Amino acid sequence: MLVDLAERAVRLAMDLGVEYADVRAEQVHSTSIRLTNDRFEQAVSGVDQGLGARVLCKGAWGFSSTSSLDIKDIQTAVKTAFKIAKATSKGVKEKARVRSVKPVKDHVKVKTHLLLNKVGIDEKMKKVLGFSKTARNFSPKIVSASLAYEDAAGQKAVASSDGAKILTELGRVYVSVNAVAKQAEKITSARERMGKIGGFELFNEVNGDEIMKKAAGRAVNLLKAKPAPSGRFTVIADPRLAGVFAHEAVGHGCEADLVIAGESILAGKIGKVVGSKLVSIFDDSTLAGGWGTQKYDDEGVATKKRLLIERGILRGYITNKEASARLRMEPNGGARAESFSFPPIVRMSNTYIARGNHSFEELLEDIDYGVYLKASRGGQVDTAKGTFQFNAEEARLIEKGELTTPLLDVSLSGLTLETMHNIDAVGKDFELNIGFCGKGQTVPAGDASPHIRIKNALVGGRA
Amino acid sequence: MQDLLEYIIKKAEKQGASQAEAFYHGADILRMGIEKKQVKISEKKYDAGIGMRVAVKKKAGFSVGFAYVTNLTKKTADDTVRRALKVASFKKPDTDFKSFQERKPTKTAKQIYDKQIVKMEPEKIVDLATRLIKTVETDKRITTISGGLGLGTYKVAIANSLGVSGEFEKTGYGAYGYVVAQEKGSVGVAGDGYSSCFFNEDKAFTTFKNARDLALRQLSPKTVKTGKMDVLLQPDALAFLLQFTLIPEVRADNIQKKQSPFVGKMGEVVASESLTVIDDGLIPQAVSSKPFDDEGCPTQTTTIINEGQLQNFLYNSYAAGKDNVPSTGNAARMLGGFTYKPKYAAEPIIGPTNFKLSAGKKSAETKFDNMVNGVKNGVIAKEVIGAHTANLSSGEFSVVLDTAFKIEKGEIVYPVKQAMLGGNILDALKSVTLFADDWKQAQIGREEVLISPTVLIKDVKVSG
Repeated sequence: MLVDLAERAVRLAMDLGVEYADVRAEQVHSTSIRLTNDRFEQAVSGVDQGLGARVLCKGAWGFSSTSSLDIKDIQTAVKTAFKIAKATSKGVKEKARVRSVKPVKDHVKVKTHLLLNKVGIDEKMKKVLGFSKTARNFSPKIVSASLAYEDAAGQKAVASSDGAKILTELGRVYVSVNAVAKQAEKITSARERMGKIGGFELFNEVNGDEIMKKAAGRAVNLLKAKPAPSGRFTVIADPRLAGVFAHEAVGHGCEADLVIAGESILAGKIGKVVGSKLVSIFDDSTLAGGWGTQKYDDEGVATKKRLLIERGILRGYITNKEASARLRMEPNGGARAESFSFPPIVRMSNTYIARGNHSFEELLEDIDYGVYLKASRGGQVDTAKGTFQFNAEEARLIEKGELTTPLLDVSLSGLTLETMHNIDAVGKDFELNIGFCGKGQTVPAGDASPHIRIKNALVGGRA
Repeated sequence: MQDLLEYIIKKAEKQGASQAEAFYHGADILRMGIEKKQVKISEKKYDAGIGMRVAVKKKAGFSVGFAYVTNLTKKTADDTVRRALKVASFKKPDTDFKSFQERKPTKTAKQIYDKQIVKMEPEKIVDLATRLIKTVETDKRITTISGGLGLGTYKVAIANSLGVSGEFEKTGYGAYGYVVAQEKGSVGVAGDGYSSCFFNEDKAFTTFKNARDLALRQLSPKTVKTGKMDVLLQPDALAFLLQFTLIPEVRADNIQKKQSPFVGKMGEVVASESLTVIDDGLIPQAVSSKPFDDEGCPTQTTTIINEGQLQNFLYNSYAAGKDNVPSTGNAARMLGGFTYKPKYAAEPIIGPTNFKLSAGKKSAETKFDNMVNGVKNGVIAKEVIGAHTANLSSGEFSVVLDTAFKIEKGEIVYPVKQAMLGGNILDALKSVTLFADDWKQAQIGREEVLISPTVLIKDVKVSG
């Protein structure tokens, strides 16, 4: 039993005389499929299992992982974690402590009626191939479609020396498509994704073919788009791009480990005004249907809906047990690890900007000349300096309150706090997005937002 | 190890595979993390496994199946073979598949194994980290020092039905320093990294000091006026930019998929004649040097762009078979997803080894100081932000120049805030005119590097 192994490893660590220990043990069936132009570049399935032990010894952390669940290898991993923590403690000036939480024992089940590990890889490959055909047949202008399928199903056990003993059943499935269109010398691309925590029933719940057509259609439409102007304009960001802003620019700055490390522009600003009164931002691990939803974090702490920014005022951070001790804050279950082979660190779950009260038309009507930015090819942020840069997938020029010329290759960059203050209207719509967040480790993270309007934003285009 | 790999291959052949291949990868990694001016955590990971491929002949061609296993016994080996054959049975025959890698003589990759790394005690790394912190925390304006030190030992083995059989061990060493400085409300941030196959204390100190100096020099930045100017991209900036533009765009698979602005441009002038680009898997001490790639093909020196002219793309055996050319030894196993897969858990695709930019002609080489002195109006950037949003197919990119400084009349005058460089990679390559002498191996992936000095891109638009 995974959870017993995890608990046993915690006991082994405590017997060595450490102050604190937590352990994750996993057994996960996973499938990865990559298909480009109907050729399978990867069709991989396997079982990933192992255990990672983290100990706190004399104020220093040690972590060790093994891909074996044999008790002998687990003992070695625990001893290694202890040994390197002890070595590390010689360089520690300010000892790390953890804030204990009430012990939880639980068994969290996954809600699904089509378990991913009961579906053969052949059926998954067939599904992906079908989607690819839909995307490629959309138009003769579509020259290529790349699809990625990922799933994972299994069990994860978390045990800690302050009494957590939690078994969580896992199920997660995801498909993305990148459609490429070409006309004369012009090449454009567009991306769509779908996914859920659950099982293969995803494909009965969402119309995957429609999603393929959406990506292909957008790539084709972009062929007509023109290079964008550069400079400072009023912009409207759609829920996808605004969600990325909430996650990248604000969410990362609210990660308590970065705050403590002096790597966040939001350090020391609790209770201070950091943005426009119209903006409230949450990170909510309990959000129903959220891509980053989980009941307990990887330290065995019950998760929460965390208020980060309330009407422009910074109210809280995302914390783990160590940050909670250091900052004298309540632990709110923000520790996540990519897998058993990584130590848990502070991460976001589902980060979103709360709804406002403007319709899209109202956001548009006051703009004499501006840019409407839609979707995102990704972004990057410097949390210490408080700068960000995102590229929109598509854009439209706004002239006299109307959407006009389609634009491509448009980026939005700026200073996080300045931009937060420059948000002068928030829409009443709301869209939940799925994504992945990298911070040395990759975890699934959701974001969401209504449309938002930003004054004086730096837009980078090619015209 | 070879015995085990041979056992799997024989087993697969007996069960109906026309060809089989088995690849072993083991990694033993020690990492020490620094946070807020102190050592924080040490991590030790051990992971090993075998990935196997089978090619099953059907009427219309071959179908290739893959499976991997971590706890290897004869019993699990049998199961792995069965799973790989099952995947092959589901797949339609692929008429483009010719064969797995053929046996070819390999050269020795020199200086890729450092015994010191294998024997290193964690105490020694903690001690080094402590001294690094002490050396750079001298200035009061420095509020944060973080980063880390990493050591790795890797073992690779491969065998296939065509007689490929080989193994090697290599080591890796990395030092990364990240420094935040604050003064009067202004924040200066900079990071610097060093990678090699060999442990090197001195380079760790240079790296951390660089990060410190740059962070301090970044304080109180100013915006630049939008306009055309010279842009000096340092190796780390180039590495990040090219990782998402030129490098994937010269992969033969992306050419075949028509996802590259270099489609149909073979033999044409695609860059300034001052630029030569090679991929070289045999450079001594270089991070990505190895005797053979992830399919067992010998690594080599491949000239991609010679004095501006496009001459080669990067191939693995599959893409090579499709184009009827030999593989360039660029098979690479990498697969992201919910988690980044270990190498043995991925089928080979195409990736660079040591990707090197150099001057196409002697007159395009200069000393770093001379390069700066020759610039009337320009920006020098150590890093760029946002290159991963580039459009692979068209070559369009838009990045923020980071850890950047304004150059006026040959002098570095002030740190730059939020300047953007946008354009097409083809135009940028055509505007490359000069190479400095500050060579560096800049990390571009888990085990790939860009080797380059600072490069001058002439007269391009920068938005302030």
